[in-house]
Amino acid sequence: MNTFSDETLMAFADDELDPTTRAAVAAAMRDDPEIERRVTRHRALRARIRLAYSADIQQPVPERVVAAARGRTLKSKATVTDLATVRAASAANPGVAAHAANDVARPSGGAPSWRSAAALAASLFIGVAAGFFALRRTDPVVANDGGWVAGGELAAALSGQLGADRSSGAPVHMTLSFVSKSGDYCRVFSLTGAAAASGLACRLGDAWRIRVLAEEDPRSPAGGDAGANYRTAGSSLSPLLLGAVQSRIVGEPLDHDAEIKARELGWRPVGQALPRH
Amino acid sequence: MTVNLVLVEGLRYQEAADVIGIPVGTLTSRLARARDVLQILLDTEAQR
Repeated sequence: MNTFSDETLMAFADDELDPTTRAAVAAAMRDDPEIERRVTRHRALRARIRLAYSADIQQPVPERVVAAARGRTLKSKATVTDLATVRAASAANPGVAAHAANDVARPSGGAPSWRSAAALAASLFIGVAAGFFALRRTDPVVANDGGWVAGGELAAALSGQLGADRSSGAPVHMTLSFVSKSGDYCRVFSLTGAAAASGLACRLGDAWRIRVLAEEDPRSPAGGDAGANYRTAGSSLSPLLLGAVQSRIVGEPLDHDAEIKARELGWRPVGQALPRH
Repeated sequence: MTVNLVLVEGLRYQEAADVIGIPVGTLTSRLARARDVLQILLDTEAQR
């Protein structure tokens, strides 16, 4: 069994690993449910933060961030990459942006003052935590029992929305529904909006447990508003989601009629559905 | 700062490290610690 540090799994979730290590982690995920669970937690946390800040992401770079970076530059007499510059370049061309950032000189000489940066980090950290809790009641993903379950509009959509229900303004779209090897119903969904994400949830008990959740990179051609285009199941799934579906699915995906029947029976495990009276 | 730059702003590790002016390895360590704390906070909140 392969063992990977938490930092390595975090980097995998953030798509920061070199191809060789990435392939090794991907293979380990298929063989070891514990590694898959740890990666899923990292992905879910990242996606949740982006969802919590989806409105803020559309705003200009906070002046305090730019000011802090510039202030530190003056104090340490070092050249530090400006966030606004990196963000603008990154949005225009990710590859060039990364290269340009590497060309910037490192701070040289003297120990930099971290007071302002530390204070800023603390305020931002508190802000992130406050953002979670302020949105807790309507969050699409909620921490539960060491994992994540669907909440708010996502939970409602998973229980009530069919794959054919794809109104342009809907916050959630259902891509695929199927029965898993354990007999549970699982559904692939996509969250629309500024912080688009897609994932896989399976019905366990009275909750939809999140198995995979990954943000869609707004810089990629496939990213952005997932509701803008109808993307057929299979051909549109990311490799991560496709692998998660393939490792769980039994038989064929549910068609429209099968989805309606499953919904009527409360998405209970196959063979355990309670008769309706 | 690392959480904000990487998870909110969506910068790559190298880009975020350059903004702050620290090595990528240091950024990675800080990011991992911050995520641990956030995860604990969320788990604690979920249990209330």
